[in-house]
Amino acid sequence: MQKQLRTQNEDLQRKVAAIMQSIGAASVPQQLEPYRRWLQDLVRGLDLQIERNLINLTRLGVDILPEVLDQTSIVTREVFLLTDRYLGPLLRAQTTDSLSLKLLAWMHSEHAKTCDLPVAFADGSFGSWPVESLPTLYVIPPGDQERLLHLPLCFHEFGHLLYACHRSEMDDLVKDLQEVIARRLEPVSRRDDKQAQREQQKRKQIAERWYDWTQEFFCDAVGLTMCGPAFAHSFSFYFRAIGQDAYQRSFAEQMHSSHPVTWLRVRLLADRARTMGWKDLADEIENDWQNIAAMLGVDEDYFGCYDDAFLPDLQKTIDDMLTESDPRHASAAEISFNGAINNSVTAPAILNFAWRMLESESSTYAQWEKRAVREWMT
Amino acid sequence: MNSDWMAIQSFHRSQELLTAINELSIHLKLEAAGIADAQQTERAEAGKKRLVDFLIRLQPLLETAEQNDREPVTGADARLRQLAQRLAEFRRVSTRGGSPLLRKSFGKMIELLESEKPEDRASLLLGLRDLRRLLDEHLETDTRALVGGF
Repeated sequence: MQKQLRTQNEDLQRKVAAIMQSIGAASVPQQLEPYRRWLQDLVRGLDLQIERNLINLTRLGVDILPEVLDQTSIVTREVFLLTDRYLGPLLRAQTTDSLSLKLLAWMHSEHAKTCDLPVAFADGSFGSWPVESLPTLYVIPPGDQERLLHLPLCFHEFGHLLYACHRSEMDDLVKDLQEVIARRLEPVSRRDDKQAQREQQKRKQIAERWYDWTQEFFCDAVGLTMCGPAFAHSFSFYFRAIGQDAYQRSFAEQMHSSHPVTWLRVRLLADRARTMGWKDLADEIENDWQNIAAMLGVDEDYFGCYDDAFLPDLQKTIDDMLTESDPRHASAAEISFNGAINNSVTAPAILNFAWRMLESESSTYAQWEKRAVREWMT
Repeated sequence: MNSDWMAIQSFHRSQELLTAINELSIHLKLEAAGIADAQQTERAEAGKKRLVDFLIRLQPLLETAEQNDREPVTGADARLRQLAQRLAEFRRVSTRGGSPLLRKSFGKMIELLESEKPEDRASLLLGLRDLRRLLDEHLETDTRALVGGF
């Protein structure tokens, strides 16, 4: 066993040396330099752990082989993760990454807890890997990386990072909400037969599912707060034509999904937009979804997973979470910005400008966007 | 929007906890053999703190999972709830010969971690061994979700 572990660790050592060489040799945009430095530190850390494993294998007379085996597995999994996910954004970096990187770096720079966390992004459907002690790896669809219209969805992903950075306080707030929801789901009278037990299990499942759902609603609220109306336009536009699944899901499907039904998210976004003074925006997105649902023949039904009676407590919890995490607010000037675009224009300003341009002059939008991006990047 | 965020957070949590278990376990075994290693002791202390913090966080979730499977486990993500439920199941089916993690009150495991008594070392090592097994199994789901099956 000792010999096997030694061979295994020596091979890992060669592998991390090769990775280190690739990281150093990669030609990357300036915005990825902090990410490159983090990767180099990570690989150095792995190399040190392998060294310790090799030293521990020389300690005779102490039975620490199970621990060394497990430490070897830990390093192996880290190397898998590194090569599978974290290296790609650096080794395959292109000059066309600059627009998305500029937006992501700006988002991080605007919050005290995230300003020192490097960013990178990979190809895929919108998502992120938000860990408070690591660089954030965002995932952006290739078709949206060089365009302005759906980059606002990155602000939702930034919400997950804010949650991770304030986890303890956020978990307490969500716990309180889950308990309120569990109480609201309780029937007026209790029986003790099989049917009642099944209903009890369903109520338990719903209350537990609300942990993940509350985080998603919070992230939508972060998007709206930081990016303004452009976030609501982008969210609604991106999801409204995906199909019936966005409008209605069975109870079982909802219980298997970490995301609430998208129509409900639109309802909450509209509700929040109204409280922020954007009534027309709220009416517009609600009507869009209502019209498509009618065409699909879908009624609004959450099969007991949501009730309008939850709304005041839910929005109060989201308000408290926003207070706790303190995301930057888009200003009125950014939301109505229509001036000359240059390098120092903020991300919410150019994104809100883009959505207004699309709505007012969609036939010339593509040309406008190309010019706007060029001017923002110079 | 994908939900990898949950898998990556759970993955890192488990990797950190396993590292903490191993560092502490190696330290205890070296100490028992009379081998001094100041850097190992330092890493073990950091690991011990990490484990105590985590077990304190896990304790109420485990209690809910053990006391009453009708009440929701709240304030924790799906993966942490699953870990608490798995530990509750391990403890329910464990034989009398199991470690303190499995057969005694959960608080005992925290007491052992905080104990400086040499006579507690063997019990703590058994508890750490079982916690490592539990986390290794738990981690498989996240690893599969992130980098696929092998």
